[in-house]
Amino acid sequence: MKTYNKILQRQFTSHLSRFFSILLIVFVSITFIAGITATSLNMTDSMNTTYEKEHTPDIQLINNEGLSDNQIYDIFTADKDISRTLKVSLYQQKISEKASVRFYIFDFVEFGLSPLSEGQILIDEHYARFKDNQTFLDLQMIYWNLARQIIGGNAFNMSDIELEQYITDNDLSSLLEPLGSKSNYQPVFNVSGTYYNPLYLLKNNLEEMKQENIVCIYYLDIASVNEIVKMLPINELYIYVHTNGNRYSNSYEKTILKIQDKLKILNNNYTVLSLFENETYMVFSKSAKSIGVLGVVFPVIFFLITLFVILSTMGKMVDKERLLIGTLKSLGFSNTRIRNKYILYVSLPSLIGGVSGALVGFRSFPLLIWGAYKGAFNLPDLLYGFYYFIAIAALAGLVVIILLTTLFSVNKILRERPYLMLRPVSPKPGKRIILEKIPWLWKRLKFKTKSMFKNMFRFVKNSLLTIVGLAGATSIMFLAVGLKRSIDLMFHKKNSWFEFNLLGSEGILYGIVLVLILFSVLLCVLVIYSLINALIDEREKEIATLKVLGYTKKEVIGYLYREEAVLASIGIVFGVGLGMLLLKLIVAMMNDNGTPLDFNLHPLVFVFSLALILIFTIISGLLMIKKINKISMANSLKAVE
Amino acid sequence: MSRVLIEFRKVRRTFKVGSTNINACNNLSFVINDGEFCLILGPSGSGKTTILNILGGMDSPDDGAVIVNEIDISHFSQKELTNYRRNDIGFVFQFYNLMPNLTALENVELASEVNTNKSLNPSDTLDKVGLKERKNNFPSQLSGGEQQRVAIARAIAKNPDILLCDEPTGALDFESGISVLKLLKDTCKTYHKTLIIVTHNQALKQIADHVITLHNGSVAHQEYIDEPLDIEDIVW
Ligand SMILES: Nc1ncnc2c1ncn2[C@@H]1O[C@H](COP(=O)(O)OP(=O)(O)O)[C@@H](O)[C@H]1O
Ligand SMILES: [Mg+2]
Repeated sequence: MKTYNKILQRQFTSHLSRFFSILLIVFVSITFIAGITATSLNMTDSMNTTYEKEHTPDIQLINNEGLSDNQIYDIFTADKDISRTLKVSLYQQKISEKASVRFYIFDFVEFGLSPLSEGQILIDEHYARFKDNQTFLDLQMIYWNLARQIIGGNAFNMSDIELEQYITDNDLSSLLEPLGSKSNYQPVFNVSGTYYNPLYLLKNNLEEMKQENIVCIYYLDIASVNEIVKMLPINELYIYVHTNGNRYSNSYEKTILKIQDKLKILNNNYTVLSLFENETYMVFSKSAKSIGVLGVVFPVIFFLITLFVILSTMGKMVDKERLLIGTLKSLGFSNTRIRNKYILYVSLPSLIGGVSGALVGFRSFPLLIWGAYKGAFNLPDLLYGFYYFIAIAALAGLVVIILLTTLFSVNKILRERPYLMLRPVSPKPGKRIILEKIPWLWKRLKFKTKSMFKNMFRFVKNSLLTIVGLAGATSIMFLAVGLKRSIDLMFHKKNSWFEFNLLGSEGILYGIVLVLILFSVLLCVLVIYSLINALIDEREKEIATLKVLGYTKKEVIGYLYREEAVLASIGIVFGVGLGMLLLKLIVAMMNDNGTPLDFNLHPLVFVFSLALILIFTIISGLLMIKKINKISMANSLKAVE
Repeated sequence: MSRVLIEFRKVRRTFKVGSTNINACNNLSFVINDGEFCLILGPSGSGKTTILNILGGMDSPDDGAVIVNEIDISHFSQKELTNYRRNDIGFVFQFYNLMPNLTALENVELASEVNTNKSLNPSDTLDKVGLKERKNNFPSQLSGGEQQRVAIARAIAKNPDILLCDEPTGALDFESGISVLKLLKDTCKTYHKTLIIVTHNQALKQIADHVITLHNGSVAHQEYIDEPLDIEDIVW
């Protein structure tokens, strides 16, 4: 038992860098996968909750003349999916040539809010955002007083106050002049709270409102206003529909379209507006969908690359430990115990990396992208969801596959006879590589070049690992850079290669692309680092042997890196091809979801993605030279006694 | 009387293991002549491998001098040591340490590559160690004795002055062990190389010109043998 514990312990201490590279790569991947898939869910969930909480109507019916009770009854009974209706009077009062105030008057209790008492009024949250600003407060003062004039006393008779001349030049002091000192005007209406209207989330909307000269929106409870106000026509009808709570689902869309059609047939002297005509909803829905697309394609690629890297490093480790496995077995350790050693070694970093990655991803990503959204929307606070399903599915998938394949490679060795285990794997005898069959060429090659080609062709599996690894890394790099380019073009920015405009409605996509690029870079670095790390581990003995033979540092590195450089180049070429295919796929998927991206292959897309990959590969290679130089001849070649 | 090729002068090599210091070599002094077949004998842990590593330029002593060809190598830089290994030393290990992905011939070529102006022809060298027919085999397709022959061919292909062997027969059966030793001895006599073999096997005592017996990192006993036994005549 004691020896076994020691063996277990040694497993971790002697493969520490591999342990951390597995941990890191799982962490980065799961952070990304959990984060990006959660983001689109989180966005729509937050919006759904807001719509629900703020009692946002599914359909608005607008008729400037006003609707009769009969009409309203017909509308209510038009479809069984209509759950209720709410009568709304919209009244817009021009208070100057360049300023109007809008009032919504409806039954608060029926709507779902607590009733207001007389003299109370709600102000729209979006306008109240500026409430710390003194100018705003002063303007509010004026509006309130105007409101008193309008709705309170002398109903809608503005003639005695000639406002135009004051507000046109927006001069605050002259505005205040006819009202006298501010303190003289105690408003009749008391702003007792705010109402957050999700239909005007887009900052653009607010700008438009301002351009329509709507300087503020108020909400009044019909129960607390005077008779004159009660007489206002019902020019809007809010229609609520039985939903499953998700306004971004296909079934919701179907239900709404069906009801909309029925209402249009019923009568055509009113306008029927649903959320699909609401700009906020649509912009949001589109962005959520494009994130959804990226949230499927990128995680799949990340998942595959991570899986691949771990499988290859674990495979190499197990192969390297053939001898150890053979020794353990001959010492009488059971197969289960030998297997457990590796299972423990690989599941520990996978689980630590995966669980922390899920936590960080769920928390940080939506916040990051929500932050980008806040540039364009007056968003409610983000509701964090911990989407156990995604986390568990991604992590479980990863761990199960890793465990199975690790078991597979351990079992393969365990099934061999012990005496065979104590020998290295033999390559197929006498296999000649293709180049050897062209003697005039082969003879001309230097030994260095010959051994490079031989190594490459003889260990096809190893060569493929490098090729596939680099191809994967290159493809995501290319994809990220290409996507950035496509988005630049969509916003008509031909030459903004290094700009990420995080503000405004562009901010959303740029935010995502920035995250994609950062994570692709991270993943690439880890992939390349792990590959080279595993390569050097695997070939430690060979490196030591070369050193004993008197190979200089340069020659040792040359021997090792020459073939890796050739394989990496092949991988990069394939990676660019794969990246182009993936970019095409993503652009097509985005187009299907209403984001008009172009598939554009500007030469600089190639230049930048290749430059990034080459830089990382070369830096990882250079960093690893230290490790190569540190390999001790005496220790590596020590006889195992 | 041939000249002194190698001299260890009060060499100390200390390893720290936790809080204890282990002196693998302690006040160790001896000389080895040019062209000599020297056997360093000692039980496991007596410092044999450490001596070979220092002499082979893979490790440096903490104290004392190691003089090879009138030059003190104990203060050599990494670069000088590389150069020294490249030109002067051939190494043979207990477990051969061949490149698993290169054939026998390529393994030898790997060595002759580093020193093209004085190296021997790799193919001829393999012929000489009796592996004419196995040149294109991979190490895993060869028996232990054959692999050790490849290792020997690799060591001598660079044409070094000194051949260092750490338990070269340690992993071999009796028959192969005998023939490997014979090969080593014959080759070194033919090419006039200094051969140093390290072993714990007392039975080999009589075959060398010079036997150094170690105890706890120092020389316990030394002996020059005028008429060494033929290798075929030993038993263990
Ligand atoms: N790298 C090392 N670290 C710590 N102790 C070592 C190291 N190398 C050798 N030793 C110790 O030095 C002593 C001599 O070792 P070694 O030269 O390998 O002996 P031998 O080859 O005669 O068996 C032993 O006690 C061994 O444990
Ligand atoms: Mg030893």
